Amino acid sequence: MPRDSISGYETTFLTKPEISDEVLKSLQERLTNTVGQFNGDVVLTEDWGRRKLAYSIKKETRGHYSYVVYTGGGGIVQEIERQLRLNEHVLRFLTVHLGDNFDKEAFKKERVEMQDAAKRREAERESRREERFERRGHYDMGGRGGREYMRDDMFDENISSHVEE
Amino acid sequence: MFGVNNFKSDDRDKMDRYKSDDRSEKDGDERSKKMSGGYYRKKVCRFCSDSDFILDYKDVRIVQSFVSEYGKIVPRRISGNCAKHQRKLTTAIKRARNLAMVGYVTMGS
Repeated sequence: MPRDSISGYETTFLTKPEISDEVLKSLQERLTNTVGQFNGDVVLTEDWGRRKLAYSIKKETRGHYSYVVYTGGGGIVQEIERQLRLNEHVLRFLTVHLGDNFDKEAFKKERVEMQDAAKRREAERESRREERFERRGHYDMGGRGGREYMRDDMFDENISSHVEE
Repeated sequence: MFGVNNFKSDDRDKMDRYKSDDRSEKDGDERSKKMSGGYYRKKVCRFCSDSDFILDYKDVRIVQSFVSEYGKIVPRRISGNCAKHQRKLTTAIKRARNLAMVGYVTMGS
């Protein structure tokens, strides 16, 4: 691999739900500093808010999701993951390599498109549910629609408001 | 010797028949004609047919729609996904499982 190619990475990490915003911010700042040390930069940070976990991790049933996209040279992932591992508030993390010769602008655009598509799908689902409601006079709980309906409690109140923004 | 030869060709015949049987069964339309009552809708890969349906491990809704109530990955034969997208979907589901977005064994509650 040539040395001048810049790799992109995305890291999602899961912190305890009760930690204050300052603690989270300091953790994110530390990660940003680390990225700077490795001659990379932070492309994108997202806060997905608190969500219910599918299974409990360290006795926690909820978690706060944060998502960071960054670029950097060799060894950056090891360092970032080491820092996350040292932090006692972090429950889980996952880093995915986004490929060599990472194009920041293209990635940002793609991400926005992806979110728009998700929103459109959400609207479509909502309209279908309304339609069902009008036809039957009640929200049906059976079949696929029912499962969709149940899936709503996977989301915290915070996250649903977050999506709407 | 003759007998053995006959046997072999017989076997081959059988195999050919099995093959053709398999093929007709795979074809959804063919099958719907055979089945009495009820139509089969031809399944299409939702990722291929819908440009808004983007596969991503970060999208809980999409990933979860391809996981059974017991947390199992829905097979291609049921979901109708194409091979390429099914392959990507499995990695997406496994990533989402790691982040506790989708369960390993059950779907919450």
